[in-house]
Amino acid sequence: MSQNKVFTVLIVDDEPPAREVIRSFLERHSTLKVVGECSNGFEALKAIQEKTPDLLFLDVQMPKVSGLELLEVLDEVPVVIFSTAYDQYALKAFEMSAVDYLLKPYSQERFDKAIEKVLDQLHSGSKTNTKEVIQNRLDASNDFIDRIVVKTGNKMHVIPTGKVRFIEASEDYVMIYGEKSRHLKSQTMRYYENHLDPGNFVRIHRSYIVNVNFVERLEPYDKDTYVAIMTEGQRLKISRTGYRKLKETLNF
Amino acid sequence: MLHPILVQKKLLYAFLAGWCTLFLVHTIFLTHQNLLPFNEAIIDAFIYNFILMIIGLALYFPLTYSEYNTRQSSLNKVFIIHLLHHTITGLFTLIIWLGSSFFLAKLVFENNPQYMDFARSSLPVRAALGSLLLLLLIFMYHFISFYQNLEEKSRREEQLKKMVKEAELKALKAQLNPHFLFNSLNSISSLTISKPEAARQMLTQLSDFLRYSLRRNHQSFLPLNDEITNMKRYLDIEKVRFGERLISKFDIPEECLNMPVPAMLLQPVYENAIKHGLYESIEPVTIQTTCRIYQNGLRLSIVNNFDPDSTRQKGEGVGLENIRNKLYLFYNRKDLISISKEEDYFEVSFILPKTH
Repeated sequence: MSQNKVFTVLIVDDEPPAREVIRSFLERHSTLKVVGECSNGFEALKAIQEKTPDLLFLDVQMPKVSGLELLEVLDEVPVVIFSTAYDQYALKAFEMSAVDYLLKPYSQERFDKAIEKVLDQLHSGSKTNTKEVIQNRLDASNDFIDRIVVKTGNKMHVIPTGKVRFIEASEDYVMIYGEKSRHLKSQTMRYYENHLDPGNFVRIHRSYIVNVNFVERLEPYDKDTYVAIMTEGQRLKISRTGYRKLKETLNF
Repeated sequence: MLHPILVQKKLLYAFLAGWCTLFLVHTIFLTHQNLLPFNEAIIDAFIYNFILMIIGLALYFPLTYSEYNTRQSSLNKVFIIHLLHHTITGLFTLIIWLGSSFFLAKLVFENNPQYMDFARSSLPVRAALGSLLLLLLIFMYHFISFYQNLEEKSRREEQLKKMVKEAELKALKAQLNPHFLFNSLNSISSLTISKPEAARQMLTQLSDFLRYSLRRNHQSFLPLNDEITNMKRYLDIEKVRFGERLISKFDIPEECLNMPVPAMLLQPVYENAIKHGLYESIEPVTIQTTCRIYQNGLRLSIVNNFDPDSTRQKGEGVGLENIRNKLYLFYNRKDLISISKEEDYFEVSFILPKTH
């Protein structure tokens, strides 16, 4: 019978007692089998790639890479039950979407309800759109971001925004140029334009957002357009509106 | 430095009214006593009173100037310096006043020998009356400045009180930091399943920790021991949450434990270490507290390592700024805290002077 199908579960939380609660609450659910526990996003990425769990228990607040940032870089997002003690932006994001979330501390009853919901999803194969949660979370926050989490192969990197040289549009993706590396990420130029500190980042062209701290000089390109020469030598075209914005930011 | 009389309208009106009265008395006295005819009396009264009024207004500046300069010296010395300074300034003013008034009157009454005779013979009386008036003015200025100092002092005290209140509120908010509180409750929930004994213990610790900060008078001194005990509670709670990721070490000799320290001084330091060290690091974080007797007071240092690659969260300065304010309130000094940040560790150190 399909109702007895066993699904695999991965628990991700940086606090051991919090993982223990989940483990013990799961004892009642024989169709769910824990295949691993991770205490941070880096371990989680590896475990998700190796074990491809059906269900993810995910703490929002973790060191260096938050639960949502982890999901952001996953190619294939499993069904997720989020948990958080208190993160007003995340809460807002959860409320705006159909995903289930647990507020710590929670009861076995509440936990069972969440499990019931996700089992329905797992059986029917109709996952709620977790990407929507992430986008909601991002939109809910008006703060400027201070890091960008990227993935290359099976490794995750955290780039502080201060080290980002520039961001280039690349069809449905953006290419983020860091200190010595570049990373493709599925995100929009518009998002970065709105969430990077405008004192440092300027959209100089449809295809480029630059960190002005890494612009070495401007050179004329043709009659009335310019190119930005970056400290590492790249030459980036500047549109006319881009030049005006750059002028405002740099005060020249 | 503004002139108090010119700034405050009420004072200015009273001042002008005073001079008008003097002017009238002067005129009436001279005519009534048949010393001068009415016209000459009016002009005489006008010249002498008007010039004294202007000079009197200007007198404020040299007087306060001396006050500003002697603020640092001892009381006795200040008194003598003031007395000398005021006498000389007063005499100088008197001479300028009599000289210029006499000269101006002479210009007006050049062809009036009768007036000139009167002017000359009345000089000593004028000098005496002028001295009295100047003395009165000096007293008045001192009274004003005394009153202003009093006002400023009470304003500053008000400000200090407000700062203490704010610090209390912030400490309270930090205690009720929802993230800390709910995660701790979640840990307790977990322990009730596997280790009920440990759950009870953690619950007690959390209660004691919260109670300590709710009950303590934030403006008083407490033995270092009380503060450290409370911080150990806090760290123990975090240790249940994070297990081996948090290591705490205390090196505090017996003789330090009874020394008085401002209540709730240390908590923001540990909170910072936890928030920026532990919460943002995957590797274990050690918080090392060291205390020594130093010049009859205490020297305390709290060091924690942190992950240099982690992106720094905002709000680092608020807690430490509070401590700086608090130390200023308690010791009236701003040089008692020093903060140093190296490649991968953060140190906050205090000097807590001996208190009486």
